[in-house]
Amino acid sequence: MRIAIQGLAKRYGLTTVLDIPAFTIEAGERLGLVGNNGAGKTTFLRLVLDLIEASAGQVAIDGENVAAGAAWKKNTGSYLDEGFLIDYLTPEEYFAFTGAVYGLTRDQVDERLERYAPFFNHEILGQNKYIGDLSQGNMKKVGIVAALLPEPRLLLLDEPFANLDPSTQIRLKNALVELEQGEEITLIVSSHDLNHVTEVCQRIAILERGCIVQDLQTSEHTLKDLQDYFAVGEDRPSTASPTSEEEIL
Amino acid sequence: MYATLLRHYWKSLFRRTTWTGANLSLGIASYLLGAYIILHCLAIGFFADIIIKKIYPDIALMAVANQNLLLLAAILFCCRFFLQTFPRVRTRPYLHLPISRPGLIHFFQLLTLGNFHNIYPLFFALPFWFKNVLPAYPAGAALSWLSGVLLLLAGSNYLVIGLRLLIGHKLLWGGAAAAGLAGVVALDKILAWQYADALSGYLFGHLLGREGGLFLVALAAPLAGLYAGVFKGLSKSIFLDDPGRAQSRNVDGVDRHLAFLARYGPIGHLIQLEIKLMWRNKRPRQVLFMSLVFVLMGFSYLSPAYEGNIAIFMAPFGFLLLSGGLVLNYGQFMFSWESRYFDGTLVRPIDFRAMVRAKLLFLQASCLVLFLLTSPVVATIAPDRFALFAAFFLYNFGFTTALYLLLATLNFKHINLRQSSFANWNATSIHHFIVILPLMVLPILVQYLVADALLSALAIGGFGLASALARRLWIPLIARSLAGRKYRMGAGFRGRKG
Repeated sequence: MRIAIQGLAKRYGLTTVLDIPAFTIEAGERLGLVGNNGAGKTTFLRLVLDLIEASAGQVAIDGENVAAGAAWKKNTGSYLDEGFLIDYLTPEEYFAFTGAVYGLTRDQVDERLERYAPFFNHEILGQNKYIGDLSQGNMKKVGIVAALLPEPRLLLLDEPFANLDPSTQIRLKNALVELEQGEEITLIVSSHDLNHVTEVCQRIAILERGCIVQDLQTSEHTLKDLQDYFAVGEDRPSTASPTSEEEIL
Repeated sequence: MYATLLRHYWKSLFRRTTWTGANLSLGIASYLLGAYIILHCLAIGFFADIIIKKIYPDIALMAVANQNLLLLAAILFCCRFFLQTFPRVRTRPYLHLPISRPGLIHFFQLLTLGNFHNIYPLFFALPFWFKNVLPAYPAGAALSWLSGVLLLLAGSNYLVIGLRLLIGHKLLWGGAAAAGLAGVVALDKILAWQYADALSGYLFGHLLGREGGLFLVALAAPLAGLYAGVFKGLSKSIFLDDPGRAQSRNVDGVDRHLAFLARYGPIGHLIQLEIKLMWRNKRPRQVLFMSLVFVLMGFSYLSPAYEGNIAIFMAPFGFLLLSGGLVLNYGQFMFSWESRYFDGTLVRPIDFRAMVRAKLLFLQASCLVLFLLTSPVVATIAPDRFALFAAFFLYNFGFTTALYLLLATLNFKHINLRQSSFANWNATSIHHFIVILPLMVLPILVQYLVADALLSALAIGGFGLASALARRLWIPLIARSLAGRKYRMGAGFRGRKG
C-alpha cells in the first residue's frame, strides 16, 4: 500500500511536534524511523493510523485520506504499544477476536497461529493466563502476532525489538525481512535499535524535533552513518552527513 | 529528607486532578460537602451539652458523653472502613534511594493520621472539650480525656489500615465485618446489655479521674500493638512489585459459556467482549454489584407511603432503577471502560455502527433480564402499578439505553479497570448524577397530565417502544457522535488533553 503525506503537522498549543511537508512511502517499501526520544516517531505512526487528529495536512493510504475513510483498516496491521491489547482476554481469545473483526474463520486463525509457534516459544498459547498477566516481552509478542494475523498489506510497528529476548528479536527480524518475499507489504518500523532497523529496512528516515532531517537508502554504510549521527559529541554535525550523495533522496 | 517527602505528599494532594470544567465543579462540590460536614460537627460539638441535657435530664453530662464515645467511634469506624483511602505517596519510588526503609514506613504510617476521617471528628470533640471538659476538670484530667479521644481516633485509623492489609480490597469481607460489628452494637443496645456503654463510661470516666494517666497508658498499649502490626504488614507489602498484580489470576470459563455468541459474527464477538470486560475487571464488576443494590433500592420507591403527587415523583425513580439499574450506573462509561485499549479499537476494521449496536444490545439485554427478575416481586407488592412498571421497562429498553450510550461518547477520561469502584470518583463528573433528572421529566409530565394510570403507562411505554424501533436512527447518531469525538476520547484515554 502506498502512503502519501502532504503538509502533515501536529501541534499541541504553540509546540509543533511533527511537521512533514511531503513524504511518500511506496507500496512494498520497508521504512525505518529513527530518532531520539521526543523526535516524533510515535506521533508519526499515530497520524498514519488516524489515532490523533492532524493539525494540518493529511495522510493518504492508497489514495484514501485516513481521516475520512476506514477502508484502509482492513489491510492494515499495527502494534504501537500495550494500548492495542485487550489485557483481560487470554491470548487465544484475543487472536480469535482479532481474526473475527478482520473476517477470518477460526480455522484460518489457528492455521496462521501455528506459523508463529517458534516466535511464541511455548510461553503464550495454552498457558491459561490473561494477557495482562504476561511479561512485557510476551505481551509484545501477542501484539505483534495479532498485527500480522490478518496478513496485512501495510504493517506499522513501534519499537518492536524493545523488551524482546535476543532469540525472539532475531526471529522477528527474520520474519520482517521475509515479509517482502511474499506479497507486496509496506512496512514502517520505528526503532532505537540501529542494528536491527538497518537490517530490516531498505530506507531509513531520521526524525529530529518533528522533522525528517535525513532520508537514506540503506547501504553497508548506513549503520555507521546512523551511529555517527547519534553519537554524542561536539563534532556531530560533520559526521552526520551521509557518506555518499546518492544516499540522500 | 522527610520534609522533602512531605512536600511530595503535599504536591500529590493538589496535582492529582486537573481543576477544569466538570472536574472543577465536582472538586468544589466535594469541598463544599467537607465544609458542610465540618460546620455540622462544630455546631453539634458546641451544642452537644444542650442536646444531651434535653434527652437525659437526670444523668450527668459527662457520664452520658463517656458512655457513648465507644459507640460513636464504632460508627465512625464503619464509615471510614469503606471511605478512607491510603495516602497517595507511594513508597516504591523511594525504595531504591538511600532512605531508611523502616523510616519510610513510619513516615507513611504517621502520614495516615492526617486523613480527613481523623480530622473531622475533632471539629466535634474540640468545641465540646473546650466548653464542657476544660472548665469543669483539672487541666491534667481534661488533657488526659482529650488524649484518650485522640488515641481512639488513631486506633481506629490503624485498625482500618490493618484490616485492609489483612483482607485486601475484598469488600464482601469488609461488609461482613461491618455488619458483624453493627450487629453486636445493635444487640448490645436492643437487649439492653449496655456492655459497650459500660466499658466506654468506665474508660473515659477514669481518664477524668486520678488514675487518668494509668488509663491513658492502658489505651495507648493496644494502639502501639496496632501500630506495630500495621508496620509489619506494610513492611511486607511495600516490597511487592504491585500488590494488585502479584499473582496471576485464574482464567474463568466465561469464554466457554459465551461461545455461542461467536456464531453471530463481529457483533457477537463484540458482545462477548462487553460481558468479559464487565466480569473480569474489578471496577466494572463492582459497578454491576452496586447496580443490583440500586435495583433493590428501586423497590423502596414503590412504598404505599407515597401517594398522589408524591408517588408521581417517587415512582419513576423506582421504576427507572428496577429495569435500568445497570444502564444508569454502567451505561455512561460504555466507551470509557475501553479506555485502556481504545487505540486498538480505533485501528481495527470495526464499523462504529457495529460497535454501537453491540453496546446497545448489551444494555438492552440488561434491561430485559432485570425486568424479568423484578417483575414477580412488583406483581406481588404493587400489582396495581405493574402496567406502569412494564411501561418503564420499555422506556428504559428503548430510550434510556440509547440516551446513555449517546452520553457515553462525551466521556474523555481514562478509567483504571483494576481499581475499586468504591468511593472512586476517577472519570466521574457531576453531570453523571444530574443526567437522571431530564430522564424523569417526560414520565413525570405524562403522569401529571394524564390522570388515568393505564393511559399514562401506554404513553410512556409507547414512547419507549417508538424509541426502540427508532434504532436505525439512534445507532448512526451515536456512531457519528463517536466518530466526531474519537480523537478527543483517544487523547483523554491516553491521559492527554488534546
